[in-house]
Amino acid sequence: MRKRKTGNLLTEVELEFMNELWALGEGSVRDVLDRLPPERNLAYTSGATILRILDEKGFVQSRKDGKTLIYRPLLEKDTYQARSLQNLSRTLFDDTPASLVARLVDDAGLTEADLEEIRALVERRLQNDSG
Amino acid sequence: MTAVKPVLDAYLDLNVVLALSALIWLAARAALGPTALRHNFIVQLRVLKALCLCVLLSPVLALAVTALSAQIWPGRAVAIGDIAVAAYLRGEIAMPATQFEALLNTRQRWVDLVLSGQNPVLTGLVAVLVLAALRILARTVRDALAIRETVLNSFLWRRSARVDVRLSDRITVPFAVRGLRRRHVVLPSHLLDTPRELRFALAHELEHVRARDVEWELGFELLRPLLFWNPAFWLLKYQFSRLRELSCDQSVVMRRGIDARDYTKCLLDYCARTVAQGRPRVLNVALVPGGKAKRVLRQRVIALADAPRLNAPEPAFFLATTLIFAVLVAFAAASFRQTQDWSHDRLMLSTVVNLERLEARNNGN
Repeated sequence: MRKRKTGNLLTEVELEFMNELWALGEGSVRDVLDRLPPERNLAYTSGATILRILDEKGFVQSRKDGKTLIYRPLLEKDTYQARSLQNLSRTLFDDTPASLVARLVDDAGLTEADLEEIRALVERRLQNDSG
Repeated sequence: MTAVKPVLDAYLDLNVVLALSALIWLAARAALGPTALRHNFIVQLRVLKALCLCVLLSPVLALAVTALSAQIWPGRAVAIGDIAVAAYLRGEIAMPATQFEALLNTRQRWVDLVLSGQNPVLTGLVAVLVLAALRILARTVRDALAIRETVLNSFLWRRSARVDVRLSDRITVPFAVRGLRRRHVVLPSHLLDTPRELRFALAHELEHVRARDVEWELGFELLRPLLFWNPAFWLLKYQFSRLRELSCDQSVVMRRGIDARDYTKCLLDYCARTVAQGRPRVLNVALVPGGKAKRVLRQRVIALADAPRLNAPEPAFFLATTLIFAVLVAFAAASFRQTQDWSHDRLMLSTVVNLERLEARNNGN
């Protein structure tokens, strides 16, 4: 079976599993399932299949530890966040990141502290670019 | 042109048989109406498949009937044209011989006119039909490639001797399809989240594979560019698609012991998701087939409600039905065949026509 590159985006359930793996660093199917909310009630075989799909898609790498497969993310969370935002900007904001940020800043859910943090990030980025 | 003519004749024969088969099917459905088989869609689908097989085998059946009738009733014609000639020679049809012969050769005259290309309207009509057929063919190929791409990019989940069960994050509705060697059941990967729905969807698609619905669908789609203009083809195709889903639902509930109410709820959920979705419409059989979903949903729910009370179909019934269909289609195909040979009656008619022409010329002089 050919292994595909990680050029695409994760599905909802795959992202849920990746989030747990990013938090764990690495782990088995059982480790990931144990971290999911109890109401998810996901079957072990379903969990194993989702991780195998992630492996085939190239998002994780597996190694054998006795009889157990241990999965490790091949993609950093930051990298995926950037890719996901680029995709969002391209598909929903006409490839203009400024519109995306404007929508975010207009959001009533942002506090003064959040806005201050964003201002600091932008200023740091501007200083780095000019320096 | 001599090579094209027999092909065109066979094609026209197939269309005529198809039209007659649609009438036979409507009559069979009307006959099943008052019986207990009215809601048994498993039986109805098998009967329809038997009829479609008879249509495909109609050239062979026609030859068999012609040969058999020559053995049993030597000298008696089966083709309508030959029967009419015999009746004319017996004096049962009162009209001038030249007029009768012209009427008898109407189809042949039109075929010759189409092949000669001398009538611009007819040539234009044929060109439009050919272009439409090519367009349908191109769309079928495009859809086939899209399905192939989906299968290639899916994740192989389970493999048995005959079927690959695959998961794909590009689809929202499960479907079954076949390649050159293997059959594939492709399920949306989000179903892993809901094991019960996964079980229903898998049972439904595997039932399609077991009933060879995928191959039947493939056959219909391959014939579509050739027969798209024939309303009988659309009637049989619509009946097949409708019965395919109704029968599959009933089989799932009857054979696999799935609760009809749970299964119906799963179908309704899928219908809600499939509305207004762009996906290939041909060459596969899906749990909820796109635009037709809403139309047949009510029937499917009623069929599911009846499923637990259905009896297993009788093999003797199928045998009898298939035999009746085979005989009817064989006689229909043999009756409408164009006879090429010069039989005794045809020679007599030709002689009468020549005498009539001679008489007309003499009278003219």
